Amino acid sequence: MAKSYDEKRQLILDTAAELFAKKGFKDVSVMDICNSCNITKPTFYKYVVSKESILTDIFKQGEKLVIPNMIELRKQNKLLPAFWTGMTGTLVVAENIGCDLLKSYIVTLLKQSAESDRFNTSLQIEMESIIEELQKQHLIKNMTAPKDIYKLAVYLNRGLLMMWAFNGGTFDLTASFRRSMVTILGIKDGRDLILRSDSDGLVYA
Amino acid sequence: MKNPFFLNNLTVGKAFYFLSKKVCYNLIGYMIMAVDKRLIVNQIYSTSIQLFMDKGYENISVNEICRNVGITKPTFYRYISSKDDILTNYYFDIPEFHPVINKASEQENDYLQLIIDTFRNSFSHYLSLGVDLFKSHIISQTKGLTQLTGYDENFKNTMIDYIEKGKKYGQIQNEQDPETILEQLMAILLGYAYTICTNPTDDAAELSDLESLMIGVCHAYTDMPEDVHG
Repeated sequence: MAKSYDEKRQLILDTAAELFAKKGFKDVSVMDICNSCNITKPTFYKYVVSKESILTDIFKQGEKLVIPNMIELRKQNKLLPAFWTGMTGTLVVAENIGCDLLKSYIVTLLKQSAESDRFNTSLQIEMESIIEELQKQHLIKNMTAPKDIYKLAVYLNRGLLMMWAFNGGTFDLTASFRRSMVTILGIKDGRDLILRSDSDGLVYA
Repeated sequence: MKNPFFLNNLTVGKAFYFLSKKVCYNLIGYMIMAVDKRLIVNQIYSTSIQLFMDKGYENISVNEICRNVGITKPTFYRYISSKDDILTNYYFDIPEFHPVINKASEQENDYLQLIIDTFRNSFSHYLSLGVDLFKSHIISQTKGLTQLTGYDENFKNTMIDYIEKGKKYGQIQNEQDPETILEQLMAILLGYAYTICTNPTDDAAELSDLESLMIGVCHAYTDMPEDVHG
């Protein structure tokens, strides 16, 4: 059965991710990926721009995955878990791909001269409205403008990701971010800063 | 009458005289060498940075630096271990910042402002060669990013001191311990640096943004009314 464009593209991304994790980003060539997927180089380039762009795709996909979960949590009026889910998409991907691959990704982004990592605007709008709601319901103590709180969270998120990647993953990324967010939001503890797992509803991340 | 000891003493004296002269010459020699070394190293640094700025870090080889300074490659490597070292050294060498601190009346100082000013001073230094070279510097860091921000013991102790005093006089409301607050501030600084590096369109001079972020961290709340989680 012929695979659809999206399926084939996904196969390439998944295979590449596996190879990167096994051998390290630098030691995997486009040819290696082609061989593992049983495709030719020209076919590869029909689906993917470059080896570097695969990393970006893996990362962006992971970030987008959290959005349905976040919206669902919000509908259930679980605002803090919704906020946490939206903020930690990047952390989940980072922990999945590991610090070496994350470092390759960051270096790739830094080497590109074009602007590459803008704030995700649709996510930003959603997050700011969640923060506003949290403030209205007095669930957080920090009453500064939602856009400032969001910015603070994003910069903190990125800074921690960088430290984690360049220091060889020597600290617990999610725990550090949670501890900081407890202070910044102004909540009692991190017990509501949890993720939604696919199998059994809400679990502590 | 000849005193055999006199002769002896003279010989010993002469020997001492020559010896001390030799030591003196050697000392002068060392001093000249030391000054010479500093001159060469300084020249290598300033020439390299200029070349990096003109042609881009990636496009400049050690050979090219040697040619421009007028030294050989072995001479270069006698003083400097790698090209990355030049950049790292530049960014670590943050110009000293001397805030006006009122030591007589401790509580009259604005410690939050002192923290912000210190971070701003560092950050201006990081951007002083432009975004591209700062990017190259981050990429070249293999030992971890804690050093990236001039995070040495001295800096750490000063910051912890400011945070403690700021908390003592109610200027900083974040109730975490000072080390955690400092970690948060450093993470924010890094995240901010990264964002500026990957978004060249953003105005790099947007330092007031950094200031509000720092204030955001220091003023973060942890004391919640009891009914919130109940």
